Formats: sequence, C-alpha cells, structure tokens
Amino acid sequence: MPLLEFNNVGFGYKTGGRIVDNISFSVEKGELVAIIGASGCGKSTLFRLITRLEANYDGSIEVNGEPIEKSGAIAAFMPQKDLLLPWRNILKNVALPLETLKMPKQERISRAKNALSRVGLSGCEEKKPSELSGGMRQRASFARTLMTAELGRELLLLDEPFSALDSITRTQMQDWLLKQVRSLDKTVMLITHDIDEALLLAGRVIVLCDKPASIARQADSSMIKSREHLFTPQAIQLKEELTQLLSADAVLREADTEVTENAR
Amino acid sequence: MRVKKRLPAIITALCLLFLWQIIAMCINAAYILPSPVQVAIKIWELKEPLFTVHTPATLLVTLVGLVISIVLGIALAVIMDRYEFWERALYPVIVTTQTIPVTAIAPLFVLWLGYGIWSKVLVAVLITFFPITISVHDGLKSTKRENEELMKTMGLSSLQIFLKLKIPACLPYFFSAVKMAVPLSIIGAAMGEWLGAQSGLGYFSKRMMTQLDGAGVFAPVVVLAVCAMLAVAVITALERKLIAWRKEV
Repeated sequence: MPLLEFNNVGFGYKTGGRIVDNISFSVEKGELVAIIGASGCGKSTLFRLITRLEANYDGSIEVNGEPIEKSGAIAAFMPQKDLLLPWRNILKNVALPLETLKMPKQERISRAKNALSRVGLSGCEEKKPSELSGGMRQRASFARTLMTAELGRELLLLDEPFSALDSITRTQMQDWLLKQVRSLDKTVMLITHDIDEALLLAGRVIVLCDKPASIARQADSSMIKSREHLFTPQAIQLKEELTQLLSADAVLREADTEVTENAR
Repeated sequence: MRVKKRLPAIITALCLLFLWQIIAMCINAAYILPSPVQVAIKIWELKEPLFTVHTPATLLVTLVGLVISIVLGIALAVIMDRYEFWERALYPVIVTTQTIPVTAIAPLFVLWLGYGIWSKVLVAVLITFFPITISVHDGLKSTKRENEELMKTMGLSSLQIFLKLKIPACLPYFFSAVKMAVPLSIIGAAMGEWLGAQSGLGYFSKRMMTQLDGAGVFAPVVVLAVCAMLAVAVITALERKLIAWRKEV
C-alpha cells in the first residue's frame, strides 16, 4: 500500500480559476520523488494539499489507504525560505516543533542539539539566524524539519529548498542533502525547477505541465546515484527529454500570458 | 561614543537656550518671556510644591492614563486581528475618535467626572489609546502568512502561533507606540489639569499665569518636558534590551 496516493485531484481558488487538474500519482514508503515544473505552475499547491493548508479539492488523497482528512498530519514541511524567527537563537528555532508536545525542556534542547549536530551546525546553537550564511540557515531549516518529522511524520516535503542560494553553495547543499536523506528512514518529496537537482536527488521525477497543471510525465531516475551519473548517455537523454517537455510548456505559458494581456 | 553621537543634539540645544537667553534679555520683561536662567531659578525656588505635590499628581494621571491606554489599545488590536467582523466594525470608529477635538470637549469631562483625577485620565486616554491600538494592530498584521502556515504544519495551535509568532513580531511596533504615547499622555494630563484641577503641573502653570509670573508658567512646562524625556529614555533602554534582534534582521 502506498504511503500517499493522489487520485484525479483537482484544485483551484474561487477567485483565480483551476490550478491543478487530474493529478494522479502515488508515493511508496522510503521513496524520494521530485516534482518539477515551471514557476507558478502549481507544484507548491500539491504540498499545500498534503499539509492540509488547502481543502475543498476534487478527487481523493489517501494516506496509507485512508482519506487524508481522517489521518493525522503526515508531513514535515521545509519551505523555500528558511523562515527562521529572528528573535530566537538557532537552537530554539530548531526546537520549535517540539513545543507542540508536553516534553521537558531539557529533552527538547537535547533533541534539537542532536538535530543541529546532524546537519553540521554544532556550535551555532546560541547564534541568531542573522549571524549565519544562507547555506547554514537552510541547514538549520532542514534540522527544524527533522524535528517536525520527530512528531511522527513519515513524509518530508521539501519545497525548492536551495533556490535562494548561489550556484556553488547550492551544489554543495545538494550533495549534503543526498547524504542526509539516504541516511534517514523517511519518504521524501522535493519540489524543484532544476532538472539536474531532481535527477540527482530523486528516484522518480514527476513533471507538471499545462495550465491548469497536470502530470505530463513520470520518469524513473533511480539509475542516477551520484553527480557523475548525470553525464551518462542515459541520463543526458532523459535530461533532454525533460528539458524539451518543460520548454514546450514555457512557450505555451508565454503565449497564454500574451493572450490574457491582449484580452485586457 | 554615545556622547559623540549625541553631541550635535547637545550643541543645538545649548545654542537654542543661548538664543532664548539673549532674546529674553533684549525684551527684558519676565512676564512676557522669562530667560532660561530665570526659569531655572524659579524651579529651584518652587522645588517644594513642584516636586512634592504637582509633579507626582501629573505623573499619577499620566501613568493611569497610559496603563489604561495600553490595556485598551492591546485589547482592541488583538480583537481586530482575530475577528475580521470586529476589525470592520471598530477600525473606522477608532479613527473617527481622533477627529474629536479633545481640548474642546474636555471641560465636559470635568462636569461628568469632577475635579478628581478621572477627568484628566480620560483626556490622556483619548489622546494616547489611538497610536497604541493602530501600531499594535499593524504589528500583529505584520507577521508573514508563510510563517503562520509553517507553524500550522508543525501542529502549533492558534494560541501558540499568537504567543510564539505574533507577540514577538509585534514588540517593535508596541515600543514605538509607547514612545509616542508617553509624551502625549503627559500633554493630555496637563491639558486636563489646565481645564480644571486642584493639583498638577498643568494646574500650577495656569495659576502662575493668573499671577503674570512668566518664569512660574515655564517652570512646570520644563519639568513636564524633562519627565517626558526621562520616560522615553527608560522605554528606549527597555526596547534595546528586549528587542535587540531587530537590529540584526
């Protein structure tokens, strides 16, 4: 039984029209699935549905075979921006999810320290977010997501976690994340608009195209296990196919925007 | 370093005092414009009634007015933040209260509440609750929606989000409002005393006016200004201590 299953899911806001339509996919336990698509195509909407920030969708979303509404929260969410609270030090920021539990303060601190040590931020406990670099802040944000996962959440949702970083730091962070998720016993979904990042990190890539967004392709990328594998003929061909798919979608989006603007 | 930073303000203030002294000496009529030296001498001569009777009376009205304004302002801001209906119902009314000429209707407060402290407190409250309400309301609204949503996904309740996100985010706005409200509250208290009181710096200043004692009118005004400056300095120090993170953002 899959951990998460979307069946013909559609969603839109009352004021803004449909965002996603006929979305069907499933995620097995322990899988790492990437979702790619153009900016603003509706990738994050899928995460909003999984975290139940949005309701009133069409179709069905099931968690372990049960409707998502009946299951408790299943996901630990890492947003695009780190969203660390500037008045809290790093340790207290990371420990924030544990404050939902009635847990002795000492245990909370000890668990948060472990998470910080796991992401290589030992020694930064007392620092304020403003004292850390962009990459370190994202690692702190990842540690906070791990703390949320400790609340019994089986699924990690990572929404373009490295999009705000420069390319060198992003490459370093991708390698770092690859090691982290491989050592975690968690299911991971990753949103990105970077095809290389998706192929490198995920075992499967879901491509969203069109408006409203629907799944254009689900590609197996499990053969790419390291950065070197990105240059094998098989990987290069897959990358080209995905690039073509996204480029065609971008042309359609541009034409659609022009038609809308002309109509105004 | 701190003195060096404040040196321009100190020099400007000294220059203005010097200019005032020269003009007063030229006019040479203390009942029209007393010189700073004459005012200082008057403060020293009247130190007994000024500092033991009238300053405490005004500060009491200021403090009571300020506390009521803070409690009322925070309560209104929180209600408006939490309930959209109350925001739509109250916000225009609160803005309208600021169009009421408090000075013109303050004599009515004396009629309603008598010569005790409450008529003056009402003047102080009417003047000060507005900046506190509006600033705290803006502070509560200033939190990013994405922060709130992230906390929701972590499983934090509305109350926890309010305590752990909204209140800390609102603190800079709150301190700015209180710094604005303290001098206003002192002005409100003195204004109320001018219109009818038995003690207080406003009352004292009015009494000196009837005696054509120019330096006597200025003396309580100077004391009022010094009290306001000291209060703002204390709040600024508290602000620096409590929200040091603001500089770091």
